[in-house]
Order: sequence, then C-alpha cells, then structure tokens
Amino acid sequence: MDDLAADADHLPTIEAATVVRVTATGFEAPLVLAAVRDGGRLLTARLEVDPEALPPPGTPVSVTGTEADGWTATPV
Amino acid sequence: MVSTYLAGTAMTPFGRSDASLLDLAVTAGKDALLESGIEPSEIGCLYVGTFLGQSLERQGVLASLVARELGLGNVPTTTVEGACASAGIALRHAAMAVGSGSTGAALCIGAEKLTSHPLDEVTAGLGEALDRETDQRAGLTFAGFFGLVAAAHAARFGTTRRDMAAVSVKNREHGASNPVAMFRRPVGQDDVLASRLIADPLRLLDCSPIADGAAAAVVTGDRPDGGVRIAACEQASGAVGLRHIEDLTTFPATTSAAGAAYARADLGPRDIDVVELHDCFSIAEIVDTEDLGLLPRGEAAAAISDGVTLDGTPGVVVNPSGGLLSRGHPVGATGLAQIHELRLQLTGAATRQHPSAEVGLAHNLGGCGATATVTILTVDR
Repeated sequence: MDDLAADADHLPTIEAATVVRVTATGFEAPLVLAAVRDGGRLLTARLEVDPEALPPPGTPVSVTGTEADGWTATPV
Repeated sequence: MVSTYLAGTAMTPFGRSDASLLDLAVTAGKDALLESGIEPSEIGCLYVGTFLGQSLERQGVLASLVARELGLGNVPTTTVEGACASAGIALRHAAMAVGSGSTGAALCIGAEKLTSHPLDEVTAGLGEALDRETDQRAGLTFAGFFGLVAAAHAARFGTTRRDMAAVSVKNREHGASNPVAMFRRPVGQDDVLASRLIADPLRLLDCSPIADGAAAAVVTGDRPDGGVRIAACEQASGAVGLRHIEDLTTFPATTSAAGAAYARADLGPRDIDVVELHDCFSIAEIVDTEDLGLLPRGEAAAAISDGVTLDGTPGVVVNPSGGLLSRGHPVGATGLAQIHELRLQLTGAATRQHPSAEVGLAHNLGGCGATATVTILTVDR
C-alpha cells in the first residue's frame, strides 16, 4: 500500500471536493470524493470527512491506497 | 476542399418519448431530408451518433438500420460514439465526406433513448465516458465531476452559487419559447438555490435532464436556399479521467477545437453572434464561455450574471434554444440539435430570434473533456 503522506516533503492537498448524493449502481450515497493534487497530478480519492463539512481547497491530506484499489484521503 | 452547406436540419421534440431509438433517428432523418429537398437516393453516406445505443438499448450498427428505413440503399454507414459529443462528431464526418468531394450530399443524425431505463442504470451508463481504471471505480459520476469543476472554479475565480444559478435562469428563460424544449417553465434564482443537492455545490436545476430525442442535418456541396455554410467543423481530444487533467477550470479539447475552428473560418470570438454551447451543468456554460474565448478567463460568471449573454444586444447570445439545461440532453443527439437551432437563427426562423445573426458557433463536449467539436456557421448571401 502506498502512503503518499509518508514522504515529509510531499503533502497532497485537496484541489476540489464534492458530495455525490445521487450515485450509480453499487455505490452508497452520500459519497464524498475529492480531486487531490499530488505533485503535478490529480487523483480521484474517497474523502473521509463529514459530508456536511467539506474541507476547503488547499487542505492537506494523507492519501492511502493504490491506483488499482482506489485512493482514500484524510485531512491532516 | 469543397465548400459545405447545411441544406436541411430537423429535430424531434426532446423529453420523454414512447418512440424507439430507431424511430426517433428515422423521424429526424426524414424531416431533415424533407427540409433539404434532397432525395434519399442523392445521399452518399450516413453517420449516426449515439452514446448509449448499445449499452442501454442493446442496438449495434444503428446507422445501417436507419439507412434501410430511410431508403438510402447500400451507402456506407457509420455509427459514431463520442459520449455527449457523438452528434457533433457525426456532423464533422459528414462535412468531411462532402468537403473531400467523395459525395455531393451526406446525412448525419444523432439519437438517444434514455428515459425508459432506471436512473441508476442511466447514471452508470453515462459514467462509461469516465476513466474505468480510476474514476468509475471510485464512484465518480458526471454530476460529481462537474461538482469538482464548480468547486475549483469557485476557489480560483470566486465564482458564486448565484453566478451558477444565473446560467440556469437564463437558459430556462430562453427555453420557455422553444416549442421542442423539454422544460419550458422559467425558473428564478431562488428556485435553483432551493432545488435539491445532486453533487455539491450543484443542485437539481444546475443539471441538464436526460431525455429521449433525435436531430439531423443534410450536408451538401451545393449552396442551398438560405446559404448556411459550414465555415469550420473541428474536433479535438483531451482528458478521460482526473489523472489526465492539469487544471479543472478549463477543457483543453474545447480550446484546441475552438482555436482550429477560428483559424479555419478566419474568424474570431468577437465575430460570433449566436452560440449554442454544451451547458450540461450550469458551471459548464461558465467554463465553456471562457474556453471559447467569448469572455475573459475568470470573468464569465459575473458577466453572465449581469446578462451579457442574454439577448445579443450588443454582443453574443448564448444558448437561445435554452441549451441542454432547458431543451434537455438526449446525449447522442445534442450536437445536432445545436446545429438545428443555429440554422434557424441564421435563416431568421428561430422562435427566440437573434436580431441580426450572421455567424453562429456550436460547441459539443464529450465526457469530462475527452472530446469536443466546435462548428462555425456563416451565411453566404
């Protein structure tokens, strides 16, 4: 498992976040997702926050997971 | 290249329909042929755009079926899939076929049948235009993607919820006079802001509705009555998933296609009188307006709120048909419905007529910027 926040010089941040309230088959709503800026690239990550309190852009996050299994972001 | 013209266009009403996907496509094709005065035997090739014709309707080779129903004989047929830009791409191929001189007339149709399917199946089907390896797997939807775009645009440029609502209010006002629009009831800012959240910060009235419908165009090399010429019909590709995106506040496929279209037509954004652009969500119209160069980057939201794109006096009018937000969005048909509206505008036949339209621009966006077409229409007097 990758942990992108484990690198002290490398702290991903939330570029934008949304709460998907009407989901497609197999996903439970509400689904909190974020575009996370990790260096020069964006990741699609499940965001572990209260759906009614979305963190603002620029919030640093810890990101765990893999591209194959999906990323999970947690504000730090 | 041979000059190419729109000899005829047509569309079915957009909304809920009991007609089949095939019947919708055939109806639009027949009506466009009638409008053009071109006989089916004169059509040299057919392009049919549809996105979910296979996934939801389980119908492949739709173009060949349509050709038989229209009596086109054994002409070459191609079914085109480019997500929401399927019809724009179908038009581009028809224009290239005529422009190359390989045929004197081509027919293109866009068609989609969505409302008879459960919403979660349609949502999942639309999601097929997102990156399967990452975004689909995470549960991202198109509303979710444009929710991210809205959040990023707000963070960078200060775009407000009221700015986004103003787009919906404008397009619902426009659509109120469009007899084939799905929604013809105007809404106010408070209605938009009170509608239920779909994907923060986007609410129900920020989202274009899925619909059934079809639209078609006959492209010829000979100048028809009205003289509506295809001055440019360009296409570009871009990101399929978030991992390919550098900046959530712009779609490079749009900027590339627009740049190529302006160059080919030898025109610029200031020459455009009337625009039909891809307002799949209210925030999309703000981004598209900037990507097309119609308004400076970061300034479109406030300008639209101020009514700059409302009626074209002076300046440009955007989505006089009501756009996707009001006309409805039968995905694979939308690009040619835009063309139909512009042809009406340029021949003085639109229900919400621009006072002096000479140049029109259509913008059709597929996926989260995976593909885009930009078409510029002028009038040869």
